[in-house]
This record gives sequence, C-alpha cells and structure tokens, in this order.
Amino acid sequence: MTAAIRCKGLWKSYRARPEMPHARRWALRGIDLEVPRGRALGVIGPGGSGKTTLLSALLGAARPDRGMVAIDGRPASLLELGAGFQGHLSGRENVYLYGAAIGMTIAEVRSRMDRIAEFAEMEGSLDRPLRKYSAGMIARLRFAVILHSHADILFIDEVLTVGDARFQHKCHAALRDFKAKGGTLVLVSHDLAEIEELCDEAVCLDYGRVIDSGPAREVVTRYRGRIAGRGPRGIDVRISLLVPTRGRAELARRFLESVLARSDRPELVEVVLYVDEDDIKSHSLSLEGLDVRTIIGPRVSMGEYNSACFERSRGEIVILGNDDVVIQTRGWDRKLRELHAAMHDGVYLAYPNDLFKGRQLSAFPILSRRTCETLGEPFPRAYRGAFIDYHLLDIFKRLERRGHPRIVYLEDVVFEHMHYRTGKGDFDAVYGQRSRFGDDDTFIRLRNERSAAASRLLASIQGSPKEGSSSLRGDLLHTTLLDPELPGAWRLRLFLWFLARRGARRVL
Amino acid sequence: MIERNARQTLEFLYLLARMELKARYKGRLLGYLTAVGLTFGVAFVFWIAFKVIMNLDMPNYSVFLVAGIFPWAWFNLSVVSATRSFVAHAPLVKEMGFAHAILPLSNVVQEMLHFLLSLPLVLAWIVFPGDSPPSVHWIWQIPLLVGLQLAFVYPLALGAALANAYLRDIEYWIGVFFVLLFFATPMVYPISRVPAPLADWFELNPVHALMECWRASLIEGRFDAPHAAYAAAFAAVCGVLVYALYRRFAPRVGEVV
Repeated sequence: MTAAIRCKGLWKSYRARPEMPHARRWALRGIDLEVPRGRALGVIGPGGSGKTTLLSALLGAARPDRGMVAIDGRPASLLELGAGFQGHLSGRENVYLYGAAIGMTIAEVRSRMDRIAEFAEMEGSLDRPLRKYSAGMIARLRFAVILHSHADILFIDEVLTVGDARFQHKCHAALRDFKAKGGTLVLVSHDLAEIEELCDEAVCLDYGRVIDSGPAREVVTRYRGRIAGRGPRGIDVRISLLVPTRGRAELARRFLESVLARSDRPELVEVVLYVDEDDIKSHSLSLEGLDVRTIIGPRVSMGEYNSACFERSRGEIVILGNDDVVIQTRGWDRKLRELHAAMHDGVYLAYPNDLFKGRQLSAFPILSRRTCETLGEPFPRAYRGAFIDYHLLDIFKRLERRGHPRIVYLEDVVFEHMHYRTGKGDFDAVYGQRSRFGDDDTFIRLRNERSAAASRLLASIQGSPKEGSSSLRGDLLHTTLLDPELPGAWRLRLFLWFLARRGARRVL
Repeated sequence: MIERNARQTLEFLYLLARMELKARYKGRLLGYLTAVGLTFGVAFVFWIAFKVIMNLDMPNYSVFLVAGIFPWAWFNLSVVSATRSFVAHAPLVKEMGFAHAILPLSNVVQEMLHFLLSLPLVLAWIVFPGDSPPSVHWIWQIPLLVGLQLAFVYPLALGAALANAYLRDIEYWIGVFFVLLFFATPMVYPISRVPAPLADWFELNPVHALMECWRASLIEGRFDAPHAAYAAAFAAVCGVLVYALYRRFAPRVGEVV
C-alpha cells in the first residue's frame, strides 16, 4: 500500500507578535505522519494544539519552517464554513465557481450539477442568491461539490458539525463510500464519536507534538480519559441560556428546537425565558425534552429582563441569548464545557459566531457563574435595550489591557442571528419599538462601574486583594479616547462609534 | 495544492468575470444601461463642476471627459477591487495555492469587459456632436490600447493585492491615492491648464501617458506613439518588479490573509 500523505519532521511557527519578528510561537514541533491510500486519519487534541495548522501545512496553504510534505493524489479541503462562496451569486453559480476553483472544468461541473444538487437536497433552491441560504445549506452545498470533484484526498476541519443529524449521517455514509473507492481522508474534529466512526487511525496533538497515535478507537478512549482527568468541572457543568422574548412565540419555539436538536447533552441545558404578562401567546412556551423555565412579569428594561433570568438560572455557564437565534452547531454545549474546563479560574468572556457581527462584537456573551458573581451586576438594569454586549466586552478589554486576555471568540460555534438586517428575519414590532439611542448615555455613565468590575476580575484571577480602579469624568471623550485603562484600538472604535451615533441621533 | 492547466485557469477567469458582470447588470439591458450610465453620471458631475461652475473655457469638454473617464474607470475600479481580492477570498486563496494570482486578474478582466461593453455608447457620444468623426484607425488602435492597458493594470492590481495581504490598511488608503491620481493625471482638465513647473512632473506620470493615448485615439483617431511607448515601458518595468515580488512573497499569502 502506498502512502497518499507523508510528512516528516514538520515544524511550523508563527510570529507571536507582529512588532517582534524574532518572537515565534511554534504551532507544530516535529510532526511525522503517514496516511496510506484509502485510509482515514483522525486528528484530535485540545484547542490550540496545532490541528488546523497541521492541516494547512499538509495542504500547502501554510509553508513549514522545516520538514517535508509529500502528497500523492488530488487534494481538496473543507477548512472554513462558507469559504470561497459569494453571497450575491446564486447557488448554481457558486457551484460552478467553487468547482473551477478546486480544479474542475466547466463541462465537468455541468455534468455533475444534478448529482450535486441532489446530494445537497436543494434541487429547488439552486437559483436563489446564496445570501438567502442558511449556514447549514451552504455547508451542505460545499460538501456536495467537494464530494463530486476529482479529489481523492480530502482534508476536513470541523465543518461536518453544521447541519442536522440526518444530513450528518448522509455525509458520514458518503465519506465511507469515498474511502471504499480508494479515497484518503484526514479529519480534524472535536466530535470524538465522529472520529471513532469514520477514522481508522488517529493522532492526538498537544502543543504541536503528536502525543498519542494508533487505531482511532484506542486513541479516542485514551483521550477521553485524559479530559476526564482534568477534574469534575469540565464534564457535567450545566449551561443556562437567558432569553427574554416578547410577542414572538414562533421564533422562540424555533430557538428552543435548535437548542434541543443541537445539544450533545440537553439534560444539562436549561433555558430561562422572560415573558411579558400581556404576551399571553408566549406564556406556554415549552419543549419536551428541554428544561424551559418561564418567568412571567411586567414589561421592564433589557437589563432587568436579563437579571431576572440570571437569578432564576442554575447553570455554571451563563449565556445571554435572543429569541431570533438559531443554534447551528451540533455539540455546541460540549464545546462550551470544554472551554469552561480549560479556563481554570473561570474568568472569561466567550462569544459564539452569530454570522452577522462575527468577531466584531460579543452579541451573545457567554460567562461563567463565577464571573457573573464577581461582576456583581453582570447585566446592569439601567440598560433599556442595548449595549450590554458592549458593556461586557469593555470590561474584558480593560482586563486584557492589564495583561489577561480572556476574550474568547468561538468561530466554530454558530448561533445564527436571524436579525432583520441580515435579511433572514422580518422587521417586526419588537425591533420597531426599540429606542435606538436610549442607552448611549447609560454606557458612558457606567464607565467607573466597568473599571471597578475589571479590577475585581483581576483580583479574582490573581487571588490578591482588589487593586486600583479609577474614577474618571463621565463624558464621551473621557470614557473612550482618553480612558487609559482601555486598549488603543478599542478606545478609537468606541469613540468613533459613539460619535457617529450622536450625529445620527441629531439627524434622526 | 491544486494543480491546474492553462485551460482550467482560463475557464475560472471566464466564470468569475461572467458572473460578476451578470450580477452587476442583473442580467438585463436596463442593468447594463444603469452600470454604463453611472460612469456617464460621474462625467456629468465633473462637467457641471468645471464647465458650468468654474466656467472652464474648452471646446468639446464633454467629449474630452468621456474619452478619458471610461478607460480611467477600468483602471481605477480594477486596482481598487483587486486590492481586496486576496483578503476577501482568503479561504479560496488558502486552497488555491499559486493559482491565486488569477483573483486580481479576474478583477482587471471584469472591468475590461465592462469597458468594452460600454465602448459603443462612448464612441457614439464622441461621434454624435460631429466634431470628431469616426476613424478607421480605431480598428487597430483600440485593440492595441486595450492590450496595453491590460499589461499596464494587471501588475499594479497584483501588487496591490499582495501588499494588502501583508499590510491590511492599503485598502483604505488606495481610495485616497486614486483621488490624488485622478487630479494628477489629470482627468478633468487638460494638462495645458496645469502651471508650467507642475506640468512637467505630471508628464512623468505613466497613467497620464496611457490616458493621453486613449484621448488621442478616441477623439482624433491619432496614435500617440511617444506616450504609448512610455506607458509600455512602465508596464514592462512594473511587470518585472511585481513578478519578482510575487515570487518572493506569494508562498506566504495563504498564511497572512
């Protein structure tokens, strides 16, 4: 049997800091691998252990510092969600374009179009523009193109977790079929069951080295033991989703269904809903198999809604959600638990990919209960509708400035925000009634509270008594551009943002 | 890395260009007229500003504007959109390997096709007032100038895409740079109106040479050989330079985007 993929002594580093060219972070430290034709290799390991870098280096997308890679065959890869697809073009056009990008001719794409559409289960919707597709549809289409290309070596990174369980089964079946025909597969996944099911061998990476290798089942079993050994915190923690909802029972139900459908352990997930007294239709929201607690109360501010939900919640991990969200990532809860376990002191602000603001903003903040308690009032009641996300991000930016970067963006955990501005939802009364600029002044006014909160978090990380927070005049300039506790880029961003909002407030 | 032959490269280029144009024209005659009309609209704004408000004394000013602004738009828009091409298609760049040089080329080709499709209306605009009769020399001059401009623009587009992959802020500055270049070429007043010492410097601008070639050909049916030679020389030097830079920096583009 010949090797389809071989690498020897692979070292790869990145610049640790752009301004210091000699400080390098080694992502791969001497990797040797061999994958025979027709076999599947699983790559597992904790986040940041070098899995994605290994894939990029094997593909030729990242050039190793040392070592050699030899690929014998026609590779194709699924590295990022929606990669290479253009929103303004139709699904069909994207198939042509993507097919051509990965080395198919137009004639080949044309002759396989029907099979691609059939596999992706979107025969009827291929001519709609791609931006109208859901994340799951795009992932399906992309997978279908790859599968029907000439590739005989596939590199897949974490993307099979998007889509429903049935389609995932279909993908697994297709991959087994691909392998049976002599195709070679390298799969990076956090889903250990998937690795066990699809892969023959597996390697476990940590800190850029192969720390374990062998038959997939054995490697996975040993890895599970290793995770469990981290202590009880990582495994069974409960997650609470805090979701105020008003007048949108259908959306809220869709959200609940996505929570249930995509959770690995729904019994460890609870949803705390806040429903207005007069919103009778939403009073009876519930879903069999999911712990939904409903608070019925008067109409109050967003901060009060969130605080009320928080008080009723029991989870160790607390997420501020919205009713117009659809959770798209299978096993999202496991990923959060893994993250929670990895952050030993429990101080972090994580946020999922909402496919709208993305990395830009922590639209759906994820906090540990401990962080919430340290913050005192994690979701200040003074906020009527907005800026709680900015408020939390600002506190953690202060922490970052003091040497503790604890902001974690979870790109591969998709909480798709069906906001009307993304074109995925309707503009309804809930958006219309919102006061657009009502919270700007609150945000500026609460600057000293944020400074104090950051100091408390710092004390909690260092285990030392609280050290100085500062008190500044509460105007726009002093709370943004001139605030020495904030990183420069964040100061500028806040300043410009608020300035623009002030202008807009005057005009509108 | 995906290997591809010349045919696949051409096909990919064709697909990218066709789909972008289709999206721009929305597949309709009206969409095409709107896209062409936008450039005429820009020319109209400058006509108002310089002819009506500033009272620029120049016969056939609208013809002068239109003959320059369409080749300029091809040049300007393709370099600006190419600047973002690596960053905007980062995942594709990672998967395509060396073939990613096609991406900025597709921006240049798209704008070229748009230019060629606008050309009938541009020529009609020039011929219609009656001062510049249609020229038989267009038959060889226009293809030659299209080839020249393609060779001129592509290295710049590729260089801009490469630079922006490494230094992200280029994409913000390039817009400002093009406004400066627009007035330094100059596009909205003839170089004869530029004060003497400055005009000599303007003459060194290779974009000026290229635009002079277009105006000479479209308005007078004349081939401006000195300016064409200067632009061609610039394109050659630029091509060699960008090729060397590309060889040096391209392998890491997939990592930095």
